Amino acid sequence: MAATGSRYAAGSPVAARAVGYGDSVVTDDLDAEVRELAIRLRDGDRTAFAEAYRRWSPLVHTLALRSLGNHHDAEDATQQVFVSAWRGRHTLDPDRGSPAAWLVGITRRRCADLHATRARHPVATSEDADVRVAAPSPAVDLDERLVLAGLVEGMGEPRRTVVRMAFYDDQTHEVIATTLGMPLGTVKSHIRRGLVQLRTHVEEVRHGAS
Amino acid sequence: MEHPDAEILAAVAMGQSADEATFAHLKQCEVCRTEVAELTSLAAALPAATADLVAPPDAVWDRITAELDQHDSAVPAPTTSTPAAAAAPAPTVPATAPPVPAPTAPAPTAPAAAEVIPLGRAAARPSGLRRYLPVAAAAAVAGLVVGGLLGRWSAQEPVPAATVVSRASLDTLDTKTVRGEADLVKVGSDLSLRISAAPMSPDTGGYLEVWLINKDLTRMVSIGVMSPGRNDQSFEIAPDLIAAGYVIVDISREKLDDKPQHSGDSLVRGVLA
Repeated sequence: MAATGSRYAAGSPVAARAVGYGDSVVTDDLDAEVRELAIRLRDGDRTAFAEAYRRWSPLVHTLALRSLGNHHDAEDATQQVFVSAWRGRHTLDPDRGSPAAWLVGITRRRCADLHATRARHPVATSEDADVRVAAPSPAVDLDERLVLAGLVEGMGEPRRTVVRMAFYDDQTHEVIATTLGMPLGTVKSHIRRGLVQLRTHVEEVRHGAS
Repeated sequence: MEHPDAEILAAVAMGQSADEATFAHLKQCEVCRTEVAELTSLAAALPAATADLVAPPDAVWDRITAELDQHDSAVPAPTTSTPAAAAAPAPTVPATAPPVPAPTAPAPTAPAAAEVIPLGRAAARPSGLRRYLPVAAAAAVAGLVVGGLLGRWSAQEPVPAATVVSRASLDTLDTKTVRGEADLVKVGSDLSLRISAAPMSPDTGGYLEVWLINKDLTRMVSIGVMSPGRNDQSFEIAPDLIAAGYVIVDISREKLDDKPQHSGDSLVRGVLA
């Protein structure tokens, strides 16, 4: 069949076409990059630490917010999680996956600690009642949609933008390619590899939680 | 039996056809069928996974660095090849190397860009604004001048009334050649940055990224990706950003290298005033 990319119908990101598998132009660089980030973080690179914060603090903070139920405690927890992460960076094992699962693990422990503290000092919990956003829950709920959203947020660019355009905005591969000035094969590869990468990272988060 | 590459299985999972050998393999291989099923389920879940992520306020990062700097005075220096980034915790850029022209007194021959990167902390600065990026990307797709404020665009959508709050002349860093301008446009309570510039080209295989740099010259945030060849494009921005002093517009050449920081290769820059 004709395999000219421009021929398939706009509006259908999955328009049937024999996919040229030979055209995978995105190597595993981005997967390797997450590992490199983990190694740099473990080895004490503050810029890697800042990068990890930029990528995954929305996930950490939202998990804490849902668990603790108010902004003040969630911000404190986020601060404590990242301070603990930096101080305990030697516990990050780059061979076990991305720093996301490791950070989620620290978040769950920190939230459990804060709940335990509240249980000992029950008065403190009523202070922020006016900004309470949800019923606090001792266990951090690893809501799948939230974890996925947080992991997409933590993807390296330009893959993050490509994945968001494809899955959230439902754009065709051609539109994404044109918009970002990126070869079509690169776009497709980012989407496919992004999906595989997300699956791996979701598994790591789940595994760390079990 | 050799399994197909995960990327091929992902293509199958997303309903893109695959070659006969792949399907023949899938018929025999339960491991790969399971993999495809899980990737399919993930691809189906993704569009709904726009959960309301809440980024922590910037103050949280400030408290983290303050706490670490206070207690860990022997914080190991960064080991990357960008030594300037070692100054990450420093609140200001060293006066000896002003990386960007100050808003009030632009240096006539500002050193180009490589020195902007030292905003180690800034470049990597956490920001709630990250979540506005997809909106910017969506706006880029739509080619909207203004509007589509929720990232949902429609070609039929009427363009709402807009006022220009401030404007920056976008000049090259070396020769100060005017290449265009950036308007801060207000529609209702929403702000967007409209770039109107002569077409600029990214490096081969690269792309153009738009940034806002803080007037304290220590912080910057990415606000979106320019579409090549386009000379009029809008990016949604958070009003807080302008209020916090992010008033220097910068467009840089970036490579597809998954380094989210500013490349240091700035094409144009200007201060909103």
